[in-house]
Amino acid sequence: MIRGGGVAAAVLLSLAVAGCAKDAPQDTFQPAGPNAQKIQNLQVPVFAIAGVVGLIVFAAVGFIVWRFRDRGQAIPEQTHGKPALEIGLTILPALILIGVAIPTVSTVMALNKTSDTECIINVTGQQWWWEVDYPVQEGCGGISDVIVTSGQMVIPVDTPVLVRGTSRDVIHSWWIPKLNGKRDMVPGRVQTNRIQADEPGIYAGQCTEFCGLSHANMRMEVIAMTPEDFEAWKANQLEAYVAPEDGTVAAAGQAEFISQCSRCHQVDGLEDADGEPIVSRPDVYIYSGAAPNLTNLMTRNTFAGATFDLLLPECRSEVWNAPPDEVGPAYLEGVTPECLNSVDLRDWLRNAPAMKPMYADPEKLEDTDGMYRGMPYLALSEDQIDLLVAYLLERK
Amino acid sequence: MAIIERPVDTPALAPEGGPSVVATPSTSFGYFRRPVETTGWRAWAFTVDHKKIGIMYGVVAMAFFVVGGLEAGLIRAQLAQADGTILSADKYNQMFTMHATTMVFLFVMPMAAAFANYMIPLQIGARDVAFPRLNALSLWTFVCGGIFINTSWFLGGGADGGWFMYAPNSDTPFSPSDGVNFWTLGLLITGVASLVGAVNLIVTVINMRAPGMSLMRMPIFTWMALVTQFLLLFAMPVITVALFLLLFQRNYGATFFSVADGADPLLWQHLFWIFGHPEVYIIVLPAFGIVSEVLPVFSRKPLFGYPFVVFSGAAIGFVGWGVWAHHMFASGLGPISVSVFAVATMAIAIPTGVKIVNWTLTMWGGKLKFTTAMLFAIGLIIEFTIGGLSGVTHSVAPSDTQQTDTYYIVAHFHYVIFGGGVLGLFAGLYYWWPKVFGKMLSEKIGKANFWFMIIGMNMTFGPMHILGLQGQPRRMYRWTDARAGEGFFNLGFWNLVSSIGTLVLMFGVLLFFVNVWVTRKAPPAPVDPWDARSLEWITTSPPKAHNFDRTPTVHALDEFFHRKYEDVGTGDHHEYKQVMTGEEVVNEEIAHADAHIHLPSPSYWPLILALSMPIMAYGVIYHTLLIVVGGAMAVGSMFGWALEPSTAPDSDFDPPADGTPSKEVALHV
Amino acid sequence: MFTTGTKFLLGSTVVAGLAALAYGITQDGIMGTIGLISATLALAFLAAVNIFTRDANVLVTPDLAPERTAAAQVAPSYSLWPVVFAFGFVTIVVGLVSYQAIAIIGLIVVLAAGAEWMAQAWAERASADSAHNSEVRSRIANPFEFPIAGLIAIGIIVYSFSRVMLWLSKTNTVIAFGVLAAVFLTFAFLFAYRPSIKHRAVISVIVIGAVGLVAGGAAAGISGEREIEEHETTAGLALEGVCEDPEETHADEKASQTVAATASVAARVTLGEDGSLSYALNGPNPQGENSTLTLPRTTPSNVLFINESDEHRRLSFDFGPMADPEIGSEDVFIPNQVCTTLVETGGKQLVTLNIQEPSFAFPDGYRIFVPGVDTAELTLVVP
Repeated sequence: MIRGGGVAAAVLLSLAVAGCAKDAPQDTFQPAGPNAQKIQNLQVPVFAIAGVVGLIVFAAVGFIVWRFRDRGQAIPEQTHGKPALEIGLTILPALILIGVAIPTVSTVMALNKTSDTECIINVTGQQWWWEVDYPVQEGCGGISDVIVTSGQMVIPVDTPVLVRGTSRDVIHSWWIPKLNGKRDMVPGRVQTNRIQADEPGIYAGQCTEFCGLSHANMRMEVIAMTPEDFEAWKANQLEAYVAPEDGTVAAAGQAEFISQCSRCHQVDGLEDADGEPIVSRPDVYIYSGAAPNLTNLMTRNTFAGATFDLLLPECRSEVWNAPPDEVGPAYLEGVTPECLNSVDLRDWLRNAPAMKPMYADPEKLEDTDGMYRGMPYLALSEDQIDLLVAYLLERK
Repeated sequence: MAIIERPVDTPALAPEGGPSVVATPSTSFGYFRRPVETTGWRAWAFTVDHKKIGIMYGVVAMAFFVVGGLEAGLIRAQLAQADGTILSADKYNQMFTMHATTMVFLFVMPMAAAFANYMIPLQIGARDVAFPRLNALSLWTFVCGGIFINTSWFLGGGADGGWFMYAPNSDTPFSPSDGVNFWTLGLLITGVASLVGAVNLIVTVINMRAPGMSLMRMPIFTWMALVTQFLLLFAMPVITVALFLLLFQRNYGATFFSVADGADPLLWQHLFWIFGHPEVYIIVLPAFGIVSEVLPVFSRKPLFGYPFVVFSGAAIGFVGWGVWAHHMFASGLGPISVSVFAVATMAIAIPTGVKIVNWTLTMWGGKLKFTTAMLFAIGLIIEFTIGGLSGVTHSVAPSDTQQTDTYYIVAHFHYVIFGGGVLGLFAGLYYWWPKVFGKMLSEKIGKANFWFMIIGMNMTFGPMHILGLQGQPRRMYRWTDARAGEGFFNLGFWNLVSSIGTLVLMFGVLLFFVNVWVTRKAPPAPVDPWDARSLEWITTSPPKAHNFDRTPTVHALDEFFHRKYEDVGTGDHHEYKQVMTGEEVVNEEIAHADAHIHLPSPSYWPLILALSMPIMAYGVIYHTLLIVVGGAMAVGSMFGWALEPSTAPDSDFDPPADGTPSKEVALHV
Repeated sequence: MFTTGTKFLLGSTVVAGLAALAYGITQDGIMGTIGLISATLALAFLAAVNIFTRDANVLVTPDLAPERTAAAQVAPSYSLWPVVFAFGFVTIVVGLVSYQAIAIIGLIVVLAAGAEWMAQAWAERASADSAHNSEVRSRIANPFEFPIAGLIAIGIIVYSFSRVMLWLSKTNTVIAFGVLAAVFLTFAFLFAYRPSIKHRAVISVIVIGAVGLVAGGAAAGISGEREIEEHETTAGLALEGVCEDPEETHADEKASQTVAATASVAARVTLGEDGSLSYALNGPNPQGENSTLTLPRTTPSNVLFINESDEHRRLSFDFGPMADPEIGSEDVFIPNQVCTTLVETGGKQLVTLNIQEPSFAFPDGYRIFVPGVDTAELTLVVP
């Protein structure tokens, strides 16, 4: 068991230096903002204390095992213990734990403050993607109309942001390790989570509360950018809808979109022949009652629950690995026709349930009143897919 | 059907001069005669002997251990590489749900129950448990429940909501197969087993201790098992309530967890974890008890600070009720609740730490003999320390919000449950094997078994610490290279190490079965192979049906040791002289066998009552008619139980009239 | 071999059979034949029973000398069951002429008494030892008696208790419950403290309590239930079209305040003393005059209304026009509204909204207002 102890010690040691990994997008030991930093300040000493206590125990056991092995000595004294020693060894860990408890409680309180945040962003979880919306407010530099996006949240740097989250179906958990710990998003409740990024960058996260079939495919990203870039992003999001020019492929795509997609997917500004706004009714078709808003799809660089890239690998790398001061501009470029990852997008349109496990067959789901959970198989022809891709490329 | 047979052959006569009654209840109730078979399957199926029941508990638990292990193997195979394709998402979700369910409810708990059943009466000097038929009912109910849950694999797939089965993801729209129904009903059934067993063992320990055995002279395993039974007694009703709510939510249109109807899904989490946290101690305390038996024997010293170990066990049993919400630090309880539960969680580390200290100090100054059982016990100290310390790191609530639902938690609780539970159970298997089966397991294979298991478990679960801290969430059917990172701590390498570790671990467990097979024809074990210290060794191995020929009288903690050795030193100088060998002690007991030994008789009804439960459960899932059939069977068997005579003919043993002790006691048990 | 009774029954069977034959041959009607065949079968059955039981006459038991049989040696004990049986029978008759329920009770009494009678008679023949016989009876009957009697007792007590509770006024039920709990606790303490207390004393206390409860229940049942007011839901209010009405409606203002809901409020909307309507989220409060509240679509959101004005007010939500559900026409529109009940000054009330359509689907959008206060209005945006 010396070896057992050795392995254990190695594990603990490796834990202590786990923060050294490079480029691990969800590393919990690489804070990138004050909230995660508070946790870091707490957990590093706690891990150290735990490691030291562990090493003491291993050393003690190792020593005893070596020193008191049976070498033919007489039967030892049948002592039943020394109460003073016992009490001492009970008080010692108690003192250590009191030392840990005090900063724990103060950090819990600090991380739960909501009054000093300057920007509110709502996230809503549903199987298996996150909707992000920016309510009308004075915060975030002023937002005059609701911005609805999904999968990726854009925030200004150095601004304390309050994430208010809930869920439309089951419990999900919203977690960007480099910005803060996770917070479960519970249907019927509004939960809060503070985030703040020190530097522009793309911070990855993942749904961490088991939420059913495609739990593994429910990811999210936070893109932090300078306030100026953020203003540009907001302006772009709120720009009025521009219909494709008549006669273009995209215009045919718009017709295709209206007939195939707009039942569930909202594109703000889309109008029917009478000039009435087209209102999607995902609540009629989808059990959670929501589908991603595609108005500005191509300003994001992932889709379907941030599971698939909209960008080709080289283009993606240019954005994701950009130095902090270039992240904002690179992201704002959106998806250009050259960079579009048309393979995944076309596969998705061809047969979404084959790409990402979903309950997309309502016949198997008597208990959902015949509603889908996730995007169904639409039996689109290759021509239809061509048109739709052309249309979607202009959504930015 | 005549329920009462008139005693035709021996008519009741009232001769002159006084009443003489020949008829007895046992002859009056002909059709309710109790079984008397002593061989063949009937001797096992209808037995109420706590030893046979204990063995059957162990065998079935081991079978489920293999099932759960194979499920774990598939999980690790899937995760060995990025974007694993061995299992579909659906099957993977079922696999991890059933792995946890099987391991917790169908392996560790019943394995602990096996030891408790077998050892408690022996350790307290009793002939059997207080309610022998209830004991049989516990066993068969557990077996029925376990098999019932696993039949879901063939009937549309297992449960897929995780063993924690959070609402509303467990509701029918999100889990449309019958798996969750199987899970709910199966756990309700095994819950009956646990609850019945708990009542039984508590009464046994409180009422049936041998003369002289005060509570503070009770062997430590019995103490820890007693605390466990109290935890079960209070925890099982909570999960039963939760399971009923879920059952009605899914099957009868109830809205306990429906947000649209104003319910709060966090209700389930509170109910589940009020059960679920004590459950952790239900799992580890029996193993702690075993280790506390094994360490003194092979250190040749009494347990250091026996009262401290007892009281820390009891303290864990109490404080364990006040920490459930640390499983919910991320679920939005509010800062006050989070702080309170964080501090309470830290507090429970103290009694747990006391145990580690006491085990270490038990070995201090001892005369350590590294048998396989001892190796497993020392392994438990080390591995459980790791699990305990990682537990302290997430009692720090803010830190836990980074760690919870990642592989770091998986690592933590496997070090606790495997390192703190399963290693202890294996220590118990090696330690008590000669007691139970009268044969020694091979020490050579045993040591290989230990080393493969310990290396395997550290290889499997150790890297999970890294995976978790690198941000790999739990319960994902696949992980992706895009989030794997590079460098030394990349997810790809450590996932692979973990998966290879699983193979090593599986090989280690396989060696145990090899060991059992190889030694199946070994010569009889000596009466006292380990120079043991407690009461269960003051009888033959395996013990006779009535356990002790003479009910032992207890004079001290570690009674057996004090019968064998005498302190011949003077003053502070101690010197221990062997006055008797273990065999002589046992023979002396046999020579003074008790005159009349009453033993409970076997019964058909526990098995029949247990069988009715899965029938009713299938009825809930498939057809109401089955509920009626099962219900009728249950009610009928309860009446059969109530109506059967209290003993089978000739079940009691009386030695020959001249008072000469009998070596062989013929019993129908 | 045959007892007199058996001979009589066998003879009657033969006569009835012959009569049936004769009647069937000579007469036209079929009913008479059927009646006579039935009589034949019944008599044959009785004869068979009589042969089997040997006319209940121990003297003719063939295997044993009469004085040696078990039954011959024990005098039958006293029995309550014939009386109960007779009582039940009369009850049936009474029930048949008055209420069916009474007849059913009588039937149950008859069945129960019959079963008990049989069990007792049966057990008395088991052996020569009456103690053993009574044990046999208990063994057979107790497993049935205890659960059934227990259920009946619990049922009666629960029913009586519920009658008393429904008769008392709302406040008094709380008092009564408290008193009852105190009494229980006192006696429990007393019994636990003095385990030597006489068995009979404990039983009499329980019996007096039970009888008192049942009597109270009967009395309360006769005098009837208290008046229970009806609660209106917010949905009900909307259908009544009172959302634009500042007047009082009979509704329970606490109806929608659940603990779970108050723990997760999407927005707090406050009606100020000056008649202004403002909202707050659990984050940065909107600086200055922000009159637009954003709520998510297709997800339940709790809005808490806080009335700080001097009058009782309600908060109403207007979701544009909708087709009148009562008329069922697509052309007749009524306002689609949801509102709280009238909230007293300083009071709070929750509304849970689950909005399916975005606000831009309606030219005028959605709004939040307080009927009777023109200045109190917010724009509601739902994306």
